[in-house]
Amino acid sequence: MEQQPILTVNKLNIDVSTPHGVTQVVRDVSFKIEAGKVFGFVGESGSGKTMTCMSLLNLLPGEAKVVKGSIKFRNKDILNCSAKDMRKARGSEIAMIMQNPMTAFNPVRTIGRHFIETLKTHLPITKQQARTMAIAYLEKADLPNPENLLKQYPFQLSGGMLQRVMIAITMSLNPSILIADEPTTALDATNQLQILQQLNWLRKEYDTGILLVSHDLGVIAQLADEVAVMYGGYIVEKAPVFKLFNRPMHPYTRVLLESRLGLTRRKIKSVQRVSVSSPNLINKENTCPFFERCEDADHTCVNDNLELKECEKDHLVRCVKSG
Amino acid sequence: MGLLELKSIKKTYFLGSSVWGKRKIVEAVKNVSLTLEEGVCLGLVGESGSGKSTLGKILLGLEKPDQGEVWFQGRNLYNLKAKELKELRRNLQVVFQDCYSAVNPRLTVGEIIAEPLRNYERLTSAQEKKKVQEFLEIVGLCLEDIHKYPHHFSGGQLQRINIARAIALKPKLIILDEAVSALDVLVQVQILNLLAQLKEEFQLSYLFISHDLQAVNYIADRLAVMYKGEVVERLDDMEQLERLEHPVSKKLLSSVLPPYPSGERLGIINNMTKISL
Repeated sequence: MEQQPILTVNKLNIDVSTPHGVTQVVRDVSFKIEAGKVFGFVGESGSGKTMTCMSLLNLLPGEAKVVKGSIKFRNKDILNCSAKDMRKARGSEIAMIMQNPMTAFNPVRTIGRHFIETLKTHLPITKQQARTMAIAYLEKADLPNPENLLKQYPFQLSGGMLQRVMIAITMSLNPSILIADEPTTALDATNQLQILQQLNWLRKEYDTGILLVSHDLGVIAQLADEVAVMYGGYIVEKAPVFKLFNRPMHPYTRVLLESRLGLTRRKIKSVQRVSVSSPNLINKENTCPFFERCEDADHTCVNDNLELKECEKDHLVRCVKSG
Repeated sequence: MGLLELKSIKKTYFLGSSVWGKRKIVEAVKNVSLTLEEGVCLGLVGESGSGKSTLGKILLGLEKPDQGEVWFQGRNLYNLKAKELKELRRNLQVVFQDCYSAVNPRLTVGEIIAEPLRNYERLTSAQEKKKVQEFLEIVGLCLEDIHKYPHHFSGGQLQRINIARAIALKPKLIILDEAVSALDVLVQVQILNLLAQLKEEFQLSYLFISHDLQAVNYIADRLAVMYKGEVVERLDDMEQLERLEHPVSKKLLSSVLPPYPSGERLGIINNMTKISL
């Protein structure tokens, strides 16, 4: 039986106006998130991952604008939602975990105040009830000594602990979509595992759909069900996780997969072929975004036909040469 | 005798003021002794707060240790006249994690790379320019980049500029303090390859400080694991990585995510022994 997706993004285009001209940061991005599934976004910095996430919450900065496309959450059109409705939806329906837990909290407020404020904003409960609830959820998140934790300030906790508190707060409102934007990047490798365990538990227990953004393929390989590889604002390849790792089709995905270090002592040579400079997103012609750095590129790559094509069932690639 | 020798280094920080109540004592480094031979890359791993960076600062001469000695090229770093120290310091360079704050935003790339040269060598401006261009080429940047400012570059390119500055005086030892941790995966591998190539070319030695065991494993010849200010385990042959014994090393090893999704991938995460905080 086909599941009804909770969040549907269709042909999203975002432009950012800079002093040097208009930059096309997100181009033709479409994806769906289903309940209890994890959708992974991989890509280098500047590939448009965070901009896409921000647009899902209608939180794009002033210079950025959605110029085309639609974002549907259940039956609600996010882009044409009133500010009041959007405020209600944020946190309770669509929640977000940021990359750096140290800056996501207000440094002069205790953990308890953050937690209780969030609960009271969305639920008709008293402060005492909110406190009891907060303790219950901190316990569920396996955090030791929750009562004491509520009295502590963000700077008294480690990054890993803070991120877990963040997940506990997120969990307490039982959102149907969680956007995790590089949730483990700022953390140690040992904390990273715990956070991933927790996210996995969250989707199993509460059937939350997760959008997992990371530049780390290891994280994606562990948790994601479906993966989209972003490059220069485009989704260049989209496939179920096993297909993508076993049979990468786009040249960029291939280089990316080869660049994983792992614990073998093999030298990785292929990355040297990719040139040092990042793509220029201003005034881009109808050329493949990976053109300048691609080793297989030739004249056929300068093409108007830059569609995401299905080369196998569920496996989509944006490359003239494959499929 | 090695190129660099640390003898029972100790460094304690006092937090808070003594007048307004209790002082908190942090023993960042306690009794660390290490030797680094010429031409070797020693990887120093540990979780955040284990004292890796403090150790790096001590052997650069940026933090004075409370106890212990740092011997570099057979001289005691903390028992030298200013002039002798300056001469010794040219052989000791560093590359930091945050490439943006490591360069002066008001200087052009040319000036950034020329700075160490101006400190130690008397060159005419033509000679200087030639040298800077030479180093830009070595680290894989264009000759036109010489007039650009740091904000024109991406993190990976800027880290290349930092590396060019570090090798400009042809030093003996470079301390790489999380030098690739903030970079994208692809760029990380490119920079690691560049570092490995430069090591051969200029006969450098590295102290590679990182929390990322995968990166350390890629470039280092030897390994030291730090935990709470102490070196808890050492490894002279990186092929033996899987045989690390100390619980801290094992924890670091087990937190490296397998690079491929496997059938029981979520099982691995679920069955992982709960790590106490």
